[in-house]
Amino acid sequence: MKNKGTIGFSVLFIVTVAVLLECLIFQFHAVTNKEKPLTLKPGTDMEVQITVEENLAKLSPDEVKAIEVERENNKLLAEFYQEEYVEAEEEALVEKDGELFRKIKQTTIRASLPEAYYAHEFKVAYPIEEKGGYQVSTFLEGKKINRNVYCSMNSKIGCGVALLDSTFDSFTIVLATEEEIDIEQMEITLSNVFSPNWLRIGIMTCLLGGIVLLLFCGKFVQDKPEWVFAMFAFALGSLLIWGIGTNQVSFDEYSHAKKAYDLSFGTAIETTEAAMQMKGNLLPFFYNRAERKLVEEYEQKNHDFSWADITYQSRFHRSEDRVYYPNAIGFFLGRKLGADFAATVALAKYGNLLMYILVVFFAVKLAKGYNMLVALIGLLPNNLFIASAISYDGVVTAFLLLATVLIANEMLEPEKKITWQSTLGILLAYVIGSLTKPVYIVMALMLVFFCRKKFENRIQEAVFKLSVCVIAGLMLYAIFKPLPAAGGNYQLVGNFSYLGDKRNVGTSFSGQIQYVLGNPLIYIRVLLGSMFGMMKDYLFGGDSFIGYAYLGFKGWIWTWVCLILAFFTAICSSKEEKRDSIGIKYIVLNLIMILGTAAIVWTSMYVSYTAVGADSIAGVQGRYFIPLFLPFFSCFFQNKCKVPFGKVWVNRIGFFIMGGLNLYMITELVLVAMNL
Amino acid sequence: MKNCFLKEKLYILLPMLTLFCLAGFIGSLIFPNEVLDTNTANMEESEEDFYLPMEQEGHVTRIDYEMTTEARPLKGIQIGIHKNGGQLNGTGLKYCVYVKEAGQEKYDLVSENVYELGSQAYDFQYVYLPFSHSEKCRGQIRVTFELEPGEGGSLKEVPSLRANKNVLEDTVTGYTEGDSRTILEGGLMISYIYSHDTYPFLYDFRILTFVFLAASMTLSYEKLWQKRPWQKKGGVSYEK
Repeated sequence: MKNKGTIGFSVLFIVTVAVLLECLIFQFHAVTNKEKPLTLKPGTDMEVQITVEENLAKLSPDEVKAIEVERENNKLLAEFYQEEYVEAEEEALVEKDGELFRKIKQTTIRASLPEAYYAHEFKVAYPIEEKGGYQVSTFLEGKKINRNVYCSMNSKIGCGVALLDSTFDSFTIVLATEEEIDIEQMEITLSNVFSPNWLRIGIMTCLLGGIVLLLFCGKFVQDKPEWVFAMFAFALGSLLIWGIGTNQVSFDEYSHAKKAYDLSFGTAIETTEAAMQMKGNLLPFFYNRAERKLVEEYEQKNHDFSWADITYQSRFHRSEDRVYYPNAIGFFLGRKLGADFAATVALAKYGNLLMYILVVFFAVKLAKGYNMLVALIGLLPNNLFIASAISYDGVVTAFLLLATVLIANEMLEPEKKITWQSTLGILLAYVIGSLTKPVYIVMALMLVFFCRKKFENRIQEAVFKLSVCVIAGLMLYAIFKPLPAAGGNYQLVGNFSYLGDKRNVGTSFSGQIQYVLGNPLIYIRVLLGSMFGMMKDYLFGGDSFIGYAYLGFKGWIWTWVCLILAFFTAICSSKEEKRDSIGIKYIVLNLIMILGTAAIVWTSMYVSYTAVGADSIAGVQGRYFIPLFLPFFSCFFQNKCKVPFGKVWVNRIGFFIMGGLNLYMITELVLVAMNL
Repeated sequence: MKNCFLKEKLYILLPMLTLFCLAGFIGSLIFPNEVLDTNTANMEESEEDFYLPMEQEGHVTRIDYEMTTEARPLKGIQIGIHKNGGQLNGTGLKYCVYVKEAGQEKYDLVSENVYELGSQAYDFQYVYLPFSHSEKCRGQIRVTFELEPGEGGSLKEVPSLRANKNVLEDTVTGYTEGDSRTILEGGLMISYIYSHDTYPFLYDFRILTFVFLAASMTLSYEKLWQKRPWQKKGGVSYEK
């Protein structure tokens, strides 16, 4: 594509095609079955039969764990404040055969419509006080026409919307609530309105646009992979931010949101009710566009600064909290621009995404001959998702990737003296990337094994290497001895015996260290068993690696697709490229560093997150090892395996697979799950 | 040319940055930032909470609170004051801190302050009452509260302190009218305010010191020494 006119025309053409596809295919139901929305009150507008019975609903493992964790933390607090611990009893809970159940009321409503109706949306509105849900079955002339549809009801928006897409003349609703239902207050609305889905249009535009870019802009794809990465990452990240909205589906997103939100203020924090719910993971969740509209209205109604809660914080923040600045800038901008709550959250996520794209852009650009591998790691669904969320992990991943690129560049040129720019880049990127997860700083110790020729003289080499060791030592030391920070939890945080992750039961920092030191052989067995067990699970189908956090993961086959692609870009190169090897010394050192860092990551989770003396390590996720991917694949760099096609096709294949995988996941996990 | 200029300066800039960070590290250690540290003692609100009036039948009542501090000195306390709608211009809440030394029976006065109720407090507010000479306020202490009416003598609306039925370990709340002191079956709603030091830039400076030191070690000081640009007019070219 040579001129701006062609590019503009192509973009317009692609968007037009996407809009037409949406209107003619996906809105077909609204075009062919034009019916006005129908609002009915059971008992008044239609004949109903109601039956009520009491039942027990088994609690999910997450709910059981949440109760156990809360009890454990209350016990610890009582012990800390030297108070007697009294276990609070919840009347709605019943223990039966060692399992916990919740008492529920099951109300069955059978109703007939005045005439048959084609409904896309089926909305049940009722002012429930606690959580609830319903199951709806539809019938036409007495015959059941589709499977039961389940829908949750949120007390904050007072309704639940199910998507039916069928014609029926009667239906049965089974409502499960904690309280008894007063049928007079219930309202059922059936609707089938023309409503284009902009997220779907966005996905189709990205798909068509991506294909056009890869096929018709070959030179650009070949010469500027960093720009192609930036375009793909921005488009896919925008779809994720747009599609997920205010649903909190990333790892511990609420706690990250709290820190980022607070950081966006000076010393006085104004927390609106909506922001308070965001910090407490209490925002209502939506499962379709109709619910999304109601949720966003509810959030906006509660995002009023005139009655915001005012608290104070120190003007100085902890060093590790500074990684939240990209998110905090978004919150700040949203507030200053007077944006609504959902837009403010989106801006906070954009802050993270833009920072991620910028840092990885330079990582791809600086990579010497392996920039496609770096771009692929940058576009890995796990990375892209975390960069599009409120989280510090985007900073961790981006800066560690940049640091490993710079260090790999140095390994590829063992004879060339290390420059001050490279040193500053490597060390600052490692320090920023390791601020919140200091265990990764051990990766920087690779600098200590650089050969003599990289330095001016022995003294400078010794001081350089000593400095690197001191940096790593100081950052690791801060795990055990954090600097005191402002806040009322000074005594609790500063008390070594209370250290440990309070999201899990039975954790104790000091207790676990004592256990490990007392039983080193048992711990080594636990460590190796856990490490190789996880690797086996990821590689042979026991677990899935590629995923979007709490939205879900894709099958293990996709792990292999990404692995093969990474090996392909690491090992193979086109005829016009010259790819150097990092040499046997650095290969061995890299592998030792990878194993060592992995062992430290596992050990840190055993010490901080696992119950004392447990025979397995809890809380370790595959994404923790993503920073080790580039060092691992760099061991396979070589110049022997040449592919029979040009570099442009290597790049096309890589971007097509990673872009396609992300679009497929966005469609399935974001569009279908919460935006239809 | 620009590059050459930068190269010349780097021999000074990077070591200077190292020294600056080292100075920052030492400075952060020497001049810490003191922050207040609120420890909630008795703040659980319930419907049984009540107010202790500071004046009864025209007589000023003295309320006292005894407690034991942590090992560190107590900077002040936070208590709930209700002005009961009164303007209270010129009226002050006088609060004194007495300390009982180990082995002694008598409390010694160590701090005496007045909190201006008219202009400073809202109608009901948990106000922070800082202690003067707070470094002496540690161990077994007694805090007394009295009204200091402004001009005009007695008050129409009598301010009161918020209390509840909880009695914390090692604390006694009492009130004195004339010579008779009564021990309350409950306690003042109160938070203890301590302080501690934080070191806001210590972490950054100590890491950056070694980052810049490492970067300084990549420059060729031998080449610089051989060429001695400071002895030659017009500088020196580093271009190959």
